[in-house]
Amino acid sequence: MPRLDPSRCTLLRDEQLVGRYNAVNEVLDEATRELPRFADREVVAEVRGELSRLADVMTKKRFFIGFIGPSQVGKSATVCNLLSVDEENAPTPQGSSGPTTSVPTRTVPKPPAPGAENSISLHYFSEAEFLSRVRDICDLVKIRSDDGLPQIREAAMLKQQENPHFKAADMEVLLKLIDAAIAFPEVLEKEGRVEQGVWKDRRIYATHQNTPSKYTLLREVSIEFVTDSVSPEVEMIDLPGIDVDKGSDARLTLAFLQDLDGAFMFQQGQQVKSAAIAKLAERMRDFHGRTLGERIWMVITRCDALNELQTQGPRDRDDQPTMFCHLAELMKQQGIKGGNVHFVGNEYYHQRLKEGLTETQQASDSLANRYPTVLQFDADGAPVIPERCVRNEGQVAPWKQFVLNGGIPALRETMQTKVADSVREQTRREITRRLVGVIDRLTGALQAAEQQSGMTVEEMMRAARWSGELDRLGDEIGRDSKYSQHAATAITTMLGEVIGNWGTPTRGGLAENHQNLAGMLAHAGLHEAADQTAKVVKLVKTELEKRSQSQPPPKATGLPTPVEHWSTVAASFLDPGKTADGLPFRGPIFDGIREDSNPVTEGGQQMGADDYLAVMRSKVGRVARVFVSRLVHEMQGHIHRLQQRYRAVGSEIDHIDADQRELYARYRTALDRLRP
Amino acid sequence: MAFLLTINDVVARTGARACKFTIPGKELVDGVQVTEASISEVARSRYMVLSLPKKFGQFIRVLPDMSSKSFRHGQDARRFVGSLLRSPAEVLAENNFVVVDLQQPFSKLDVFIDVNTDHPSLIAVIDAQDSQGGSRAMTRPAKIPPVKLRVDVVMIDDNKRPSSSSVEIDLLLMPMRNMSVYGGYTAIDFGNTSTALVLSDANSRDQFELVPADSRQPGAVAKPVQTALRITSIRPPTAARGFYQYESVIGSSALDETDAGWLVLGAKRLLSDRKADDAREETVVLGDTVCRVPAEDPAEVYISKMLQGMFFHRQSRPQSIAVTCPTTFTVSEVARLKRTVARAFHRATGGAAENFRPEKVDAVVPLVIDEASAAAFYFAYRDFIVGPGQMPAFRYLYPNGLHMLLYDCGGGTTDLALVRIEARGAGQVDIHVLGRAGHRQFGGDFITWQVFRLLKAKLAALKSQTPEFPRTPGKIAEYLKANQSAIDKAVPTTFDLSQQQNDDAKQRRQATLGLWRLAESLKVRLSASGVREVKPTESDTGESESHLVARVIKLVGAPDGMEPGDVAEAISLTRQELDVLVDPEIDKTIEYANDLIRSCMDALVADCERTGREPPLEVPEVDRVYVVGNASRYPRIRERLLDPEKGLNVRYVEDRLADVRSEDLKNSVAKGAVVALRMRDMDMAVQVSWDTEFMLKLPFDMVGESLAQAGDSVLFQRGERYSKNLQAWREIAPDARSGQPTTQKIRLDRRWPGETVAEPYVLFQFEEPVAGRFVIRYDEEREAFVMHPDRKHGEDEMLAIAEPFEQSPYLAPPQSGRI
Repeated sequence: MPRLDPSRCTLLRDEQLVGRYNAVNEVLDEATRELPRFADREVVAEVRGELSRLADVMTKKRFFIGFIGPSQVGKSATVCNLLSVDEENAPTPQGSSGPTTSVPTRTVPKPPAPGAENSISLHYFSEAEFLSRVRDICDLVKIRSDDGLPQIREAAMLKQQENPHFKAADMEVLLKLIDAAIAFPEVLEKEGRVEQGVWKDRRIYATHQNTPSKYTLLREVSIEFVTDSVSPEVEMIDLPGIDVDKGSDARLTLAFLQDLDGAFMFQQGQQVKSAAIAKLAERMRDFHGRTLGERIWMVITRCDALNELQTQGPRDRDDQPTMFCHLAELMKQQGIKGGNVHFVGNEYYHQRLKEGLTETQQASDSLANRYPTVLQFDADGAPVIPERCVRNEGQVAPWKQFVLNGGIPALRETMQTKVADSVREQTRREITRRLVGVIDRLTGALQAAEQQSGMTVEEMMRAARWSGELDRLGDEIGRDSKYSQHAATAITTMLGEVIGNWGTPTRGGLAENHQNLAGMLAHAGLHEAADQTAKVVKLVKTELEKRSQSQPPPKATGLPTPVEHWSTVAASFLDPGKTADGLPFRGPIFDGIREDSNPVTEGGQQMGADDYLAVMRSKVGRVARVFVSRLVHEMQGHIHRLQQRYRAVGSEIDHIDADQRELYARYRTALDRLRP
Repeated sequence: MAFLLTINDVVARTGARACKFTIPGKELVDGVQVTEASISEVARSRYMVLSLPKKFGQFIRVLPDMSSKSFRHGQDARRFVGSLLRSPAEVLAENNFVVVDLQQPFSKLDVFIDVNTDHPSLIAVIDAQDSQGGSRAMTRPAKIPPVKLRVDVVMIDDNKRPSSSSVEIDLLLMPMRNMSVYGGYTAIDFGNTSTALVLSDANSRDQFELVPADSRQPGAVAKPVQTALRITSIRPPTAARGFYQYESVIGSSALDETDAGWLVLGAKRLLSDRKADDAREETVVLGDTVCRVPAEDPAEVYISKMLQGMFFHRQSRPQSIAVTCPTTFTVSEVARLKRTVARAFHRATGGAAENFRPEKVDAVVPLVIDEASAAAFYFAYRDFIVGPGQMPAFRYLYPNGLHMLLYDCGGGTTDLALVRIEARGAGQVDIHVLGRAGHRQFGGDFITWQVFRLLKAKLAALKSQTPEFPRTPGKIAEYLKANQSAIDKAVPTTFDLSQQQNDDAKQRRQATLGLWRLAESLKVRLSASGVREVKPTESDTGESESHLVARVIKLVGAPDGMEPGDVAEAISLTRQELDVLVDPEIDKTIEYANDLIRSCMDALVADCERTGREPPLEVPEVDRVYVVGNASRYPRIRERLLDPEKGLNVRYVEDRLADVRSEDLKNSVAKGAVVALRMRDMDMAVQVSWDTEFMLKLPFDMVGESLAQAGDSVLFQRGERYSKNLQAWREIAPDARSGQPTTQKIRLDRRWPGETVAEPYVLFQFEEPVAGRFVIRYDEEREAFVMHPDRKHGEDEMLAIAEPFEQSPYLAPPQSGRI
């Protein structure tokens, strides 16, 4: 693999990561040169593919950030305010009565400089792209697409006559596309024509026009826009909404999502809907996995038009959801980071500008009277946060920003710095994670080969047999109640005694006494859980010893026997109550007795003492079971990891470079050192 | 003063009210020419004529409680009265008559008086009264004077001298009002096999009443009604857009008459899967007549009959109805179900079709829940929402949500569902169906059938016509299989269903029924705690088991030299013998449950991985197991579920097995719906949201059948979304010899989760034989699967829309003739 030049990875701003990537590549190249049999292992080809894909991500020039939302949501107005330009000078045209953006429009921010001007370039479909687009719409409107354009046109016309309402908008797009292609055949070139556009005509390029023109054949429009309001590392891609009545637009947007590094998803305050967001997020998740949550920002527009019901809920129904609840739920469902939200009121922002208020000045009385539901201030002039907003961590600061100045300055700040930084951070995280995955796979294979290199075939076969033995034991630990039921019962019984000795609380004092009892139970449970852990861990050790006697485990330098392995993991992880990642689990689980939502004070019900004690008994039983199940899960994990190691030692026997233990070890150590 | 008979419960549209009265002799005569003493003597010729004005005779029927040969009515009676009493023509025309031949002495008359409260004339009378009182008087009793029943007695003595008497008896109809609105909550559990209508009074939170909706007998034993409708006659609407009028029966009676009328079975079929605009009609064949009726009418008529059952038993109508549906229903089927129930309500309450307002649908049917969610919700409600500590306690106990496994072992099938319940905030409960599976052949009937097989084999062995019954339980299954024919020869219980009149078949049918009842009875006793062995016994209550043995012996022949009592004494049945036959099927259900648990829990972990959400420290597990259904009373089921080796793969399963009270074993689905409706209507500070996502996905695998190359190839997999992307291609080969197309019908089967065998599902029927490459796809607009040639304009050329496959009716084992 060629070495990555850090100067090609400017966007990443992480020379260390680039260096680590190159180092992994170098170790791999050397190892495969020196260890020809190892080079034939499947894993080597697989990690080379992954490294190549990583190189593509690392050499990107700009982050692509999508601006997505339904039509008429106020997306364009927000962009205008964001860039501090009026409608006339906005890079993308503003909608008034229908969906505006029909062609994806890329806006590349260009820092202001003498002579710097806005420019626009038009990218037309290539022949193949055009046909693909036509086929896609044909599929949507159920017309066969394997004919020539005139035949498709004829079929579309016929279908339109038969049923004028059937996917009318999409049918119109299809016909215009075909008409345009017939009228302007020269536009469709093999490689896709690119030409400079005229700045003032940009609205014509990017929106659905009534008659077919050559611009109907545009694949996308790219704009260089002079501004310092947006980070030059970010390319804003304005995409058609997916809930307009044009399925063809929705398809365009969904197809674009795989190229996006992040997105601003626009929703109107009055209609926070999850379905469209879910559809978009699901598609993006395929490409970004767990880092997606910090790559998406929700922009809630028209917050200045919210009514009391939407912000406070009905006065007499505490359980009725408000806009804040819908939003929190939506973000939770999609794993979007809590604070990644902006509340925006474009009209309020405009009014502020009209009144000449700076971004730090408090709203005037007239504005407060104009938007009485949302602009509320306390005696000190600080914004009053709706109670339902307070319930959702991460919404408070954005709401304050909105009340103070319409939310636009905060959004601008996000665009200027946070988006690029956050996406950069997530990209680094993702690359690091994937690079660690490469290192894991290689070191695992090297370790196995190293092990195999000094072993006899007999020992390797023994490892393979023990791999099966460990597999069975792992299943038994999960299924046999002796590893779980006794421990759970012992903890429950002991904590039941604590509850019994605590006595019967007085009816009025439950709320205060709950913390006292819960604290005692958490403390006592933790101790008992430690004792039970030791017993269960010992049970497994005894089982391993017994099986080792009937079937001796493989012996090889550096390869622990099952009992040795177990002693190590017991001391390092299980006895102290830690997961394989080193995170504590015993403490947090028992802390739940004290920290989970208070059963006495929540909801305001009057609970009797007997009911309270019954609930606490159920709780300790449940916590005991949750704990023991986790313990069993961890034990199975440790057994499974050893089983995997034995399995690796027992397989690929033909791909071992004999007597090369030291070389294998060297490369393995070299890779281990490259872990972050 | 005339003798007064009061008929209570005369409430409009609540069915036929039947009362029996005894009228003393002295009230039947005027004592002038005919006296009480003279009717107590034998007479040469004596007749009693009961006359009722025709306007009342339309809805009141008077019939003496005596042999039909002793009285005449209708035209026959009218002619007789004309000649006997020489009544003027106008009197004959204005009255209905019953003539009773009373030659023997009598001292009283027993009569049945039926009042048909559904009759338009009676309803008109009540409505007229109501309209005077305005809308507030809808349920106020009407002030209607008593109806006069005239009783004439004519005697002719030995000298042919006539003497006569005439009196009037007052029939007072009470309360003569319209139905009141039921003050409690109503739910219909619309199931594929049976449907239950459950009520819960407003003031008794834990009381539920199942309505015997298919019976018009007061005090009938309540049980769910088989989802079957038999239409026996159809009258087209009298006005444009009016209702078709049907004569029909529902429930098990619909299956009794195997020849007459048109039978529609199952919730899905009733709601008709055909959705194309050109298939908005259903074909009903009555005798030689083919009728085309609106496609949703069968379901509408079925549900209106169910509601009329409630009207009859409760004399009130529901304010609104919660409806459950099979978890396999799609969104469009749910919408259709809602509309159908609303229309059925409108129809049952006498509304005109043209007055039906679609906007009322939500008011009549405010809630539709799938059956798995409803049952889960019922137990969540019972154990947590109103349990100790209520919602705050639930949140405290299950901060990461609760996973509930429902194991519902009913009469015919065992249904499994894994449901997640999560408290979101103090007042919000979310219910998600994570997955479902089931065993279509295992339930209470299966267990009874095994008892039946054992009894039959033991009887045969007693008759020495088969080898000795094995002493080792492990060999029983093999013994029964090997000696099946010999056993049936010795104890003949199989019969040909079509041989209705054949005496031998009749006898076999009766023997089957007797042996089945004996098996049922013994099964119930074997299900009691601690019972290891049972023998047929005498019983103080109900039908004696010894009596059943005697009846069966009489039909199939007694073993040589044995009296029925000896046979009863010689037959015993042990739990062990039964268990070896039942275990394999129970184990299958457990296997399906474990698969369900594994796949659902893995999916939860994968979901965390996918969304990047930090997985909770809590390992996803089943937290509660609810074993319900009447058949779950058989102890072996619980024993197997708890078996450490072969049981449910649920850690701490004994701790997690929930207590289910006897009364909650049945109808938890309908109860869940009732409770949900109650919670919705009463402000209980808790809101429940239901998972509708599963309605958008295929609940089963669809596999090809009878396609040229297809064996059991899966065309569409469970969990795939109903969308236009659901498409598959198949090559249909022409006849190998002639090269001509021969295939005209193509069937697709469905395979439920956990099942290995698929069942017929839909049928594509082309107008002529076809061959070539075809595409099978889901059509979003038609909301149905379609099939057409895979070529240009193939869809326009020939298109077959999937028709639901006609299933043979489910027959209980003793009715099947095969056991």
